[in-house]
Amino acid sequence: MIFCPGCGTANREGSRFCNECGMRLVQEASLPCPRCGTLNPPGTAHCQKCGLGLARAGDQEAAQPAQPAPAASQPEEASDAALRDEGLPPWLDAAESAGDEELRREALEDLASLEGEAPVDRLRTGGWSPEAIPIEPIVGVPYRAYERLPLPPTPEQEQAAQLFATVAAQAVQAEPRQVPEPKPQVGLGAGPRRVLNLALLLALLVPILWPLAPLQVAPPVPAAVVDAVGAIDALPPGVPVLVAFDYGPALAGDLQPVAEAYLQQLIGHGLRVLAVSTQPEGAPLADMAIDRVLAAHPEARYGQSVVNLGYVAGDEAAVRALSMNVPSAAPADYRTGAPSTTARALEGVGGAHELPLIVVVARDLPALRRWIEQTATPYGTPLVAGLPAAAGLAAEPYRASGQLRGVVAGVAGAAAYQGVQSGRSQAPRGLAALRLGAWVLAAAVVAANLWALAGWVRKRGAA
Amino acid sequence: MFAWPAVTAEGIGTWVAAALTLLVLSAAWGESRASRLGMALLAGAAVGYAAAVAWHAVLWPRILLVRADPLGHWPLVVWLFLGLLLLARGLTSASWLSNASLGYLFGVGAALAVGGALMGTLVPQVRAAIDSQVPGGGWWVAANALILALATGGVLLRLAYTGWSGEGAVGKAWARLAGAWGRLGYLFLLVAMGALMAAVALMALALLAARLEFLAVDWLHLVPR
Repeated sequence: MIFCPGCGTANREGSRFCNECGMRLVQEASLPCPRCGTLNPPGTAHCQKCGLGLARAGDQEAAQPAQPAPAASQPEEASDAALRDEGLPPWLDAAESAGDEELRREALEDLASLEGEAPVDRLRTGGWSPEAIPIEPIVGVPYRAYERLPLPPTPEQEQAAQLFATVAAQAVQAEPRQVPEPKPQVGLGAGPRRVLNLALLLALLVPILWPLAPLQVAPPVPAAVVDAVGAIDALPPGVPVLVAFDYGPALAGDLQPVAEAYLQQLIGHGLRVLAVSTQPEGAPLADMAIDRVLAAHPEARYGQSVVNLGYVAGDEAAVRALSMNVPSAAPADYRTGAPSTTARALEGVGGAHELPLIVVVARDLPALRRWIEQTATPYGTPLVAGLPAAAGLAAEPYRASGQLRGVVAGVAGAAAYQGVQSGRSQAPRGLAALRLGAWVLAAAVVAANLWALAGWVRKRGAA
Repeated sequence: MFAWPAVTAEGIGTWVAAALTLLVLSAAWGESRASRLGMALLAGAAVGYAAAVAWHAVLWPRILLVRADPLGHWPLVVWLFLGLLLLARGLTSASWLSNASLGYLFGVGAALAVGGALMGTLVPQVRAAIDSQVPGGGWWVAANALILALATGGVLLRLAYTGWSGEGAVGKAWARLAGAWGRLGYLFLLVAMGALMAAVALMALALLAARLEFLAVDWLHLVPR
């Protein structure tokens, strides 16, 4: 082991620098280079740093290890002699040129001129000599190891030790448990959100319980609704019309009024209604709508004026199958389970494309587009549609191109439809609730934007 | 006038529906186990109902037809056999048996969908767009065409060239033009997205109003229908 003379750290045998403080570790048997002072291992022929031959210098040092501070001239003479006798190391000799030889000679003359000066003086005058830095082997004395006093552990240390023991005693888990980072709150907090929700609920509930005159005004009638009413009115009584209920309970609030409005007019006009659905949940919704409309038209009979043919699976394929042959695509009556061909409403009906009109109440535009693409456009079958309020506008290009005869969108569309059909000038309960709810929602949006704007202005002012 | 519903199957159904509605609506106060239970029950019931309808309205009537007259309804036998092969999809060693059924399903579906989209939407819509831009339709037709072109081009440029500064003189000039036109398109995009969001919000309000009307009218009979 070699002990560092600076910090006392024990270093491995052969180390040149201290692992702790980085101090050079001087070894007793090392061989200093007379030119650059580098300590070389014993027996080294050339300096590991500058390449100077060390054989004679090392021998000389080895021969006089215990001599006091050397006289200035003796080592220098030996050094110069070594330079002259041995010349430059091989790598420097290879790079030497004629010009270098001149410089070398001048350098040796300079060295010779410094003879007789004390090492320190030579350093001050800028001269260089290996003897300028006295090289003496220094044996490091290790410090005594620091002895800790046997103090009792503090409570914090006790706690940390217990925690460590607990963690160390636990079984190693295959995967570290991910602790989710707390999400920053976005938008309203719990309190304002509850207030807004309750305000919306109240706004919707009040017009349902108490009719409010300003909200009962009939909605303006869109041209698409007028066209839909006109397409049905133009049909002679007794002809069959296919009505598709392509939506589920999730959109029943928006679409059931539309479907019932269509059924009211169709059955009231004396047309035969063939209800189908390409969505499983559409069949019972069709049943509910049929029951409500039949209750308002005692002269109409199930099976004669209207029949529910139920769910037809296959999306596009189902629409195409219905277009080719309705009884074949829907072989059973959904309500009775009897073969569909036994229903009088289906008498003389072949493919849906031969019908004078198809009514599709669809959950979205893609569901409606199946009917447009598979039946209405290829065969030229007239088609009117019912859509949620959010999708009504998207169907406008198909109406503009003539692929759709009319569109009724959402509760408002259904109210307008019933207004046109019956000449009634009063909006239904649901539409009044929707109006007040929309006002509250719009007020909340404006208030939230103003609040955000005020915050932005405040932050900008503070900046 | 408040009146309790009669204890009939319909009355029990009304109470169950009202309870589920209240469970889901309780989320307005804050999400809880009750609201999550209501949503899970609704989703599960919808899936179960769809499966029951598929069996009751699609499979069973056709099985009855095949049983009554197998030769007369031989195509149904083929389709039923292909449907049975689909069940092999669940077995790793025999999943290859379902390849023919899947190929038939996807092949027919793709053919109908692609053919329908081409001949039922693309061609008629392009033709209608061309017809509507024929000169002589009045100033509003020209204005409509101009707005359509500005909006379409602007939105496309906004999406394609955002953050692009261009290289060279021509590139930089094109980047400036795309930036200015794209800003106009961005305005159209904002208006369109706002209109769509408003329509979705109105639709959600309509659904909520329908549920409240059900509670007040059909369940509690607070107001006559």
